Amino acid sequence: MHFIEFLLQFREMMKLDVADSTQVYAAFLVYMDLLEVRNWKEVQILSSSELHMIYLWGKEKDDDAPQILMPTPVSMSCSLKRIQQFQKLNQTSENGQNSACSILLAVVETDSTIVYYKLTDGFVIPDPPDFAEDVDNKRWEKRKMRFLR
Amino acid sequence: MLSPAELFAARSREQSIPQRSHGQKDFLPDGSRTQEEKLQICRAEQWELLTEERVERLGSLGRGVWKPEEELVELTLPAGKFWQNMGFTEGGRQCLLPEEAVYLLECGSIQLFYRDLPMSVQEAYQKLLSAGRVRLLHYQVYSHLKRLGYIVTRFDPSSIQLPYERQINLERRAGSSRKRKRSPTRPRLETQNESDTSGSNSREESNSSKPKRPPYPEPVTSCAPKPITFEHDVLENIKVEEKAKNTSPLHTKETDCDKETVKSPRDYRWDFSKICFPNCANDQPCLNLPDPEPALLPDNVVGRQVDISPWMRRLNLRPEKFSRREQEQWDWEQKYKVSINADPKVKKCSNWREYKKVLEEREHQRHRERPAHLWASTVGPLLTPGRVTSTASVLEQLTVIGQSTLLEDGKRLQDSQDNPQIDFNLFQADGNSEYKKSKPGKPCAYLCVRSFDEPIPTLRAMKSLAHQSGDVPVVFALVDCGEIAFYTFKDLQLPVDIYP
Amino acid sequence: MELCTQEEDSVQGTAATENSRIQIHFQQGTAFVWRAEDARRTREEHGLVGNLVGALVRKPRQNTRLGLPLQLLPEEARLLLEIGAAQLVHHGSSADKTYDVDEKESYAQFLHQSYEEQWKLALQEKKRTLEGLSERIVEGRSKRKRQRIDQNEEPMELSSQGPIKELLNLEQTFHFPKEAMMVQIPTAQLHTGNVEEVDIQENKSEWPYLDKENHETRYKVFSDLWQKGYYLTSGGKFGGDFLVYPGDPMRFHAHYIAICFSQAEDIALSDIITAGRLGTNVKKTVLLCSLDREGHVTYTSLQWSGL
Repeated sequence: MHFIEFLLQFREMMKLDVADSTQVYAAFLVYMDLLEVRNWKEVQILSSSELHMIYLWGKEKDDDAPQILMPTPVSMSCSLKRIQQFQKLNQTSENGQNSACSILLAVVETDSTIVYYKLTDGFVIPDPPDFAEDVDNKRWEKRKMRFLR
Repeated sequence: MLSPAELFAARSREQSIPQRSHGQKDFLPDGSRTQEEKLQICRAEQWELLTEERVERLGSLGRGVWKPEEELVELTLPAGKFWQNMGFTEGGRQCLLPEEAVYLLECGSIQLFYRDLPMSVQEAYQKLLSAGRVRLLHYQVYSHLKRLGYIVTRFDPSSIQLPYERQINLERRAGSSRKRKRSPTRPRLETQNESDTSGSNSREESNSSKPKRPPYPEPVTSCAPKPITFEHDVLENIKVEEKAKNTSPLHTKETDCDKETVKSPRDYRWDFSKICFPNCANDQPCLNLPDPEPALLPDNVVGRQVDISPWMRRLNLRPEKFSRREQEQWDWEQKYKVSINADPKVKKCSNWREYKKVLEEREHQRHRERPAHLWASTVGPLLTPGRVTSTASVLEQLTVIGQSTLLEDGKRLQDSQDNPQIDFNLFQADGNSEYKKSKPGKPCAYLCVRSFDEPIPTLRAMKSLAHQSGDVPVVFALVDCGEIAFYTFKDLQLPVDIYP
Repeated sequence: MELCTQEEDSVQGTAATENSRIQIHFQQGTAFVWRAEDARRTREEHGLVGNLVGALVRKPRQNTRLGLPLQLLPEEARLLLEIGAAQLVHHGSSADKTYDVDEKESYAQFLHQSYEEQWKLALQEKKRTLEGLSERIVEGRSKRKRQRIDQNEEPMELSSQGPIKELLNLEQTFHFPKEAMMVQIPTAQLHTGNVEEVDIQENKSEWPYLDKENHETRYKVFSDLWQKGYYLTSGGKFGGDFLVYPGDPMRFHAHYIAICFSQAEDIALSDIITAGRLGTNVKKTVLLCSLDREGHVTYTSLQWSGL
């Protein structure tokens, strides 16, 4: 996308007039990051007057399930209530297919670095450690090596 | 309570602890039998260990009596091996601090009695660790470190060195009694020598801002101080000269003129240009000292000619050998250092006043050369020409916020009340540790015991602790529901790229 | 005497413990379980872990495996009390008041009896070993004698059949010094008669947690996770409130780091990032826990997105 187009997009976002400018700017930076750096598809800009924020919708790849992003400047603090409200908003939104109840929290640093954290309602079991038996084997190998030396 | 049979049987019970080798921990419970069995084995092991009671041979147990009013445990049997680094003597009694007693009880080294009845470990916890300085939280840290093999003693604020004591390195001498005798004289001697040599150099240095002088004498042959040395070293045994030195007006006069800068050198009773001071240096052998001028001697003293060659032979006049570093320094100075004495204008000065005057004139001249619109207003150049010696010094002047270390400014923060306090001294107990109960030496760390819910100490508190502890690190022992983690704040010096 | 009727006691004891409550002793706001049986039940019957903080009896000078007492988290202690599985007891000054001269005497008596019995046991043991060895001893002696006879040609009677002479008057010569006697240093307090039960709601000096902010949230989260079947330990070392295990921590790694917040509390985003990052590094999910308006616990899992 051309720079001017981005600029126009930013103006549009400001015009929505739902959030304070730092949040809008954060959302704009995330929007650019998704489109330009990460090549996301069908990225949309949405707004919630209830939560006073602009948020984003998009797909990582064409066939992927869509994800909802909550852009937040790092200076802002965020209560769990707000996160839960956002999750609910997402459930009831017209994009009904997103039922996993997970959102992406996009934290924008002051130097415009963006980190993405996934927030899911309920329990998400972590990835199992890589091949526990392998570790055992490696240890045994080491011990063997020591004896052979 | 165990029955006699059980007690007797305990003599031959298992000594080693089972190795926890039941494979890797599992990721998810699957309700399988193997998982259940492994868990049962682990648990059975655990309960076997926990149900075991402490059973010891009476003969190998120490015996202590808890004295709550004194908050100590008095040993009623001679102390065992633990006496090496625990316990203290008071009024001819061998005593233990409460934490020491509870620890030894837990280790099965002593029996504790209160009102003639033996105490259980639980009772000891409740009675010994509920009052006084060392409470439960502290005891958990204490016993944790003791179990790891450290020597842990209570911290005594008076044991800590004053910053001045640290500065003059008093501690190292206090470490051994033999050295202690020498200690009061030694530092003084060092400082005297220092001031002797630097005193004469200081003016020159402050003006030329050259690096510090090497410890060996100036290469420029200055003739004034030499004869005095000569007198001291060589002629001391010559009666006549000796007396002359002690009583001569020359001696007092000379020091006088040094101090109060004589009004006109012509007033001098002595014309130094005419008095010849013999140079007896190795390279200019002057072996025959002529008959001294009778006018210079007191009436009752007779001077005579002296041949000093026998003395010269006795003196060690080997040329000084420099180390490689000294040689490098020497070469460097030869290259870049200009002796103030080489300056013809300075040479003409006959006393300090004249010399100062020369310096002042030069300073004035320097100022006159500077354009006023640059130098005279309130905002002037940061750097003065001629004063800059290195890049580092320029950068230092440009620094807006200077670096600070933990130890700086600690002094004025001392008197705040709510600071965390140091609780324990920690000593290593391995083979090369020099710990002795009477002379503990320097601990390897100071410990502050804190609970996990307490806030992180402020920078102010950190600084004041650092000031107190000096070069011994302060370690925070954080107790989180019985689990102990150790944290320490370290002073970090950022690397500097440019050196002077 | 109470101390010597051990066997009866233990029989009754096991029967009684089935329905008796676990004893939790409070000391300076810290909950301890002192009896091994109570520690076992805390874990096996109630799925609560606690933390062993004492020296292990078998090997006291190491830290890899520790022994009694078992220290409980405030939440663990409160849970056990609220489900009626435990009683909070306090050894007040009353323990001192009931001090009795008789106790002293009975202890001395007990020691004496114990010595006598151990003497007998030691004697029996000695006898057994001597008997076990006697054949070899006899053999050895007769061999020596025979040698002597061969050398000196001295006639000697071979009366070495039957018990050797050491065994005959063993009881007279047997020496068992007092120092060799084994004594016990009990772990838990023996006289459990004079304990008072304490109500945590009424005794704030024993239970300093009620006023602490966050304790209520922590407790609700703790008991909710416990009801869901998780095992929990304190989570300080991972920067959280609890570590949450899918099974007994002896055999399973923790899955979650639970951090408790009140729902309206503003959380600095940098804290969320810090927690998320740490969780990713140790392969655990960070669980943000809070109570909703109805007092139900809500959980939000926080993970690095991988983006």
